[in-house]
Amino acid sequence: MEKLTIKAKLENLNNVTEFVDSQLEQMELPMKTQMQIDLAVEEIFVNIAHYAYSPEDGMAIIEVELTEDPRVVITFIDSGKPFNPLANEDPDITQTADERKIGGLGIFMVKKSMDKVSYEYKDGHNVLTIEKKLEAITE
Amino acid sequence: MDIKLVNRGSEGELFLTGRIDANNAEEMGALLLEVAQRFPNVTLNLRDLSYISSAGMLRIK
Repeated sequence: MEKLTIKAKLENLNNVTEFVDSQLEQMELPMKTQMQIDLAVEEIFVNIAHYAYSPEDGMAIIEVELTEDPRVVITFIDSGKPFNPLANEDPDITQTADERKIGGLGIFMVKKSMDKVSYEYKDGHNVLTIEKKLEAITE
Repeated sequence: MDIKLVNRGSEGELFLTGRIDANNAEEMGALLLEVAQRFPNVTLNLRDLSYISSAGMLRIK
């Protein structure tokens, strides 16, 4: 497992994505899978950057583990305000953009693109874990 | 992200290519607003957009 500890600020989004992508490079993933993982990483990290410590700053830890199956397990840890992003209702995507309430779209996209998403508040930390089954590009 | 505006008289067609993420969504949103103020109708062509996160979708809204 590889770990990145970084300030939870929007300006660090690229660093976080590059860190995750570097762990997955060896897998030669299909572009679609890569994009789904990048999207999930962005949505979660941006939420932490915007809300976890606001208006103060704080740190985020991103852990990446590749399993034998193979799967990628990415865990986001912060010590900001307790917040379970999975507790809110999904946005109603049948509504038009004008009708639909703002908020919730990012985590909805994470839930749709990842195979498993889980949350716990443990020892003063928000711990959000996503999992995606991996399939390498076949020649 | 690359942006190209095609003036079709009363309509502007905005071609967005590349990525729209939390880093550039605000810039894209400001540009959309500017275009919307110039043209009564605006078409967004996202055919060659490879990636858009919720930050980008919110700006389009």
